[in-house]
Amino acid sequence: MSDIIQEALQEIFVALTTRWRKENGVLAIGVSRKQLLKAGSIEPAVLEDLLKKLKENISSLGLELLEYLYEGESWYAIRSSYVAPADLKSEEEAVLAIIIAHIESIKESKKEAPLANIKKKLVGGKYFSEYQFDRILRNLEQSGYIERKKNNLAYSPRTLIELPEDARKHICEESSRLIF
Amino acid sequence: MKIENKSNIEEILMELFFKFRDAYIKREYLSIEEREKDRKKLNELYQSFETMHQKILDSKCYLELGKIQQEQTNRFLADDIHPQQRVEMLAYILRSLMHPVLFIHGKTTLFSSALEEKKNQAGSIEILPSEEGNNQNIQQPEECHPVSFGAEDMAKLTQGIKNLIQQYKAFPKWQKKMDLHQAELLSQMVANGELEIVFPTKKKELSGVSTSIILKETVCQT
Repeated sequence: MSDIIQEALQEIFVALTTRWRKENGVLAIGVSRKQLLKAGSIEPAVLEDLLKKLKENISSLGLELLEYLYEGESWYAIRSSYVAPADLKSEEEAVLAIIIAHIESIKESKKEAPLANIKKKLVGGKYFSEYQFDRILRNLEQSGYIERKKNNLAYSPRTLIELPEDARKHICEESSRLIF
Repeated sequence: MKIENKSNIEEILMELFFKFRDAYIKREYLSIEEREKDRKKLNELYQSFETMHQKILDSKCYLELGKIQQEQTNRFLADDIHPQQRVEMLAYILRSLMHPVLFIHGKTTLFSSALEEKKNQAGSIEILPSEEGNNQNIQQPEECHPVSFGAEDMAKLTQGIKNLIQQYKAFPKWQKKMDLHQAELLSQMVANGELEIVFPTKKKELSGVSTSIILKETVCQT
């Protein structure tokens, strides 16, 4: 592999794993295709080729490159192929699990759970105080796990990337057995 | 009369079915007495079933009743666990299923304006120069290289052993000169056919035995 391609792969890797916040203050998950093309001043075909090479290179490290659509744009991110600890605290994980359980139990295509129901369960059930709940919710939002849509909560890309569908369903089942 | 009875049975079954289903969906609590009473009613109705539709409704009732039973049992068992502990358990379940996104730059973040367009740069990584004045004071650290043990080194060792054996022809003599590592290596050389040591013995049980293990044991015992 030539030095220029090697360096390009290194830079793409660094770009995809950089922590940066979007204008609304929410953590961005990866980089958009548009930004990669603009930053590298390269053609789409070249970018495709580089991403393909990067995908091959990192797979032996237990990492995978994936592409996802968000607000009509293609984004790229790298995630672990194996289960690994995330940077959430225990209480944040629990709240995220409850949110996932609520959203997964909705049969409609519009996957949003009313915030009031989740708050009633957690604050009303005395699992968390109102202050704790609001703080955790804010952290989850800022970390890119959930987003608020009026009075509802919906998934943000990070939840969908880090937790596959079968994992979310399992969490839904377990949550119904543990949290009342 | 028959038709009336039939519709009565079906009404009762439908009523029970919707009662159980709503209770399950809304997660309402039904006491054991009430559930047993309903189950007894279902049991009594069973003898009167005539059509497949009634039997299907009966099965559906039992299914919903079973779901309520399962949920209330789970709740009963979970009540024994402190709520904080249940929260921790749920957190653990989520943690054990996560495939996290990779961030290798720690907790601090850049603002989006910090990611500027790449300008026309030469294809090389620029190494920032160190501060002036430090270069003179910093001594070059000693470099360590791993020691490799190649075929040549092995050949030297094996030749050394051969020389030792040839020098002291009698077994007790070179046995005393050899240490355990040399004995180990000698055993391996004999095992792979590089050397053959003929050791006459009066012990009948060792007759015909050709192995390096005995040699090592003999060496170790002395």
